Amino acid sequence: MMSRKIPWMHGARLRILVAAVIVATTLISVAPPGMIGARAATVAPTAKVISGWPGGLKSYQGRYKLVNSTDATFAKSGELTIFGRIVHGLKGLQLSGILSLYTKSDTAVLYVTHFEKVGSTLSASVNSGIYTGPVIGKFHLVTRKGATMEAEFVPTQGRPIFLRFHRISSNPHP
Amino acid sequence: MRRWLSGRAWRSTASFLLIGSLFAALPGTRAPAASARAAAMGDQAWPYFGGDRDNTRFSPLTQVNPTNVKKLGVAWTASLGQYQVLDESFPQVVGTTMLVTTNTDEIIAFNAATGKMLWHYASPVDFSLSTGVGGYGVTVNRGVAVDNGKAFIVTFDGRLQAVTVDTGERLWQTTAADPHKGYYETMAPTVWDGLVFVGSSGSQDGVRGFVSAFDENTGKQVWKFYTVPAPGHGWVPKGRHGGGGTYMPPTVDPSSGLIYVGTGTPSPVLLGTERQGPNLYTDSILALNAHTGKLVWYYQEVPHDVWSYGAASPITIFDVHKGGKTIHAVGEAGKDGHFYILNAATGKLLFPPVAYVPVHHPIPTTKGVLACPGTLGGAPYSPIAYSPLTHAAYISGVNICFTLTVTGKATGGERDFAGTRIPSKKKSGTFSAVDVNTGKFLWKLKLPSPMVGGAAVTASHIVFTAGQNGIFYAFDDRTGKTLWTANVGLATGSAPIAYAIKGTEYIAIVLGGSAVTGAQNLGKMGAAVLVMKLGGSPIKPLPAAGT
Repeated sequence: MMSRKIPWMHGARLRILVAAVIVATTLISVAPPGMIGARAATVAPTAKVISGWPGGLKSYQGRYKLVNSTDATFAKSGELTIFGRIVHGLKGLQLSGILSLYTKSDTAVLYVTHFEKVGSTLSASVNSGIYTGPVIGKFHLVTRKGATMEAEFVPTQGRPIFLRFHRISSNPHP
Repeated sequence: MRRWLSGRAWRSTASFLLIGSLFAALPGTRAPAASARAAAMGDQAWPYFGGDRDNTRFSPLTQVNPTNVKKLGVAWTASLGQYQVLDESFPQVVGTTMLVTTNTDEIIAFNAATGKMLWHYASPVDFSLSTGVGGYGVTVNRGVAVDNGKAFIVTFDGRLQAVTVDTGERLWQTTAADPHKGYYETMAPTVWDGLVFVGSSGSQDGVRGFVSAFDENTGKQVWKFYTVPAPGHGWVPKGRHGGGGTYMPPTVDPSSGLIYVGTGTPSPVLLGTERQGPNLYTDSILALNAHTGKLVWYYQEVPHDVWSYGAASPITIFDVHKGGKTIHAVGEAGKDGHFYILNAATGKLLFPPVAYVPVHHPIPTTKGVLACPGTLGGAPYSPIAYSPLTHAAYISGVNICFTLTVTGKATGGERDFAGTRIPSKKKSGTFSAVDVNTGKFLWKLKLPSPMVGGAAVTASHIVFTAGQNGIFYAFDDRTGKTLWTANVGLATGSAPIAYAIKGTEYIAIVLGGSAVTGAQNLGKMGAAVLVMKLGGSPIKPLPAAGT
């Protein structure tokens, strides 16, 4: 068989292309399914803000099990409970969440509040200690398909963390 | 006669000896004697929630005294976790190990002298399973109980667990309260004579309050005493109603075999028309037989409570000298703003209760009334401190009035509150000393910030406490005079403790603030341990969470 050189694909260029393919393949294989290609939430500063998430309480309330996290030091496992909460000064039940996160050595309980639609992004504030405690980041809904919900936690300091939840009950208190 | 000291030499020597003896007589300046005393002092633990079984929060230590208290500085500090913000944990020191809990039910063991973390226990806890306010509110844990090398903790989702003090290895766990019924747990247990005593939170959520005892070796339940009738029985309406929860550790009196426990408010909370009569045994101090759970006596502080008061603070045991007699007594700072002193054997009131915060609480209506103290209470749960030297009880007070309006509906997640509550803008605190032999105030201080968490008092006549504004106080326990203050930067939901290791006295406090701090925005939050000693490094405000 006669070998044939492809003029523009030899030497350094070939090595670079091969390396890029290897890197991409590695990323795809280690990243949780669905995360690749998931758009990190970006919000334009002038985006319109609407309180609540479309579909409201009925659509989102329930218990969600954390099945994947891109940062095990933040959470190795956990649960998100979304429910309606009475908030003084506001009418009706407000979407709220309790995010319980477990690592190998400790536990964190964070409070998700101020669910709102900012432009096309569904987001919420994440507070520590109490619903009105210090805001430590934002929670953005990335994708939602059936019982699976993918979200991004963007801390006030540090890199975003992707979280994947599986809804185990539509009742916050089964 | 040989004169070995000439006139001048004699006068010089005599002068030196005289001055030296005067110097030695001044407190705080006797350096050589202080070292010897410190060495003799050795170790002094703080092995119970309240320092001793009587819950007095009294320490016999005297190294830190009114003259040198200004020299207190930082021995060590420790953050309780990246996302730990509030903390109501009352630390204990057993041997040289300090045990602190976090609001997420972890136990952290530190070397009490150096702050080195020895071990960290964290079991998965379901924080949103309860349909009570805990499921919608804030998680809280007030500490452990220690006995026979075991530490006991009850987690938010109602599991009583035992771990080893040496390593934090879990020995057993059992269900103390069912979160599916709305129960959640916040208290530190009490342990005595092979029994672990726990109660339950959730008065405002219509759960049925109880106190129970478990075998400390196996976790098997030995007895359970319900503080109120079941729904649809007695005064409790049908449906999810009840109350009478217990929030702080019971106090054991080994001499009588009684445990004393305070109970919370009845529910529906503001809707008193739904529950006729005094609503026993809510808002009460109960004396139970520790081995059987049988009720021996009760004293109800607020019959038919419609303000969300309760006897939430721990009961303290002390002796009262009255009319030439010594009477074994118990005392408690009620949420209704009064301090109660009772005969420990009979529950009879020994003195008219005194008000340690302004008190004015008309019955709530659908139009709203201003109630003082408000629903946080004069003492939300803060233990008193008692000194056997002054015979005084030291009481932390919250002065926040609330407008209470009856609506018949749930509010803020507290399912059976039946109304709304709005705090007044004016918020302040009190810190008072009551002579238990007369039932009257020794002194009373008005402070700029609500006082939550309680105090500790030492044999050197210092009472330590802290405000929601991040100010740590040392008062003369005889006069209320301010001896020293330090800006520690963070609110507290707990009381100081005092202990000694190898002759060094430490004053420690868990900072971060309570659920009250967060809900009412009373101060800066950020869970941490601060331990001080004489000659420590300068005290600077600890950083708040999120900064």
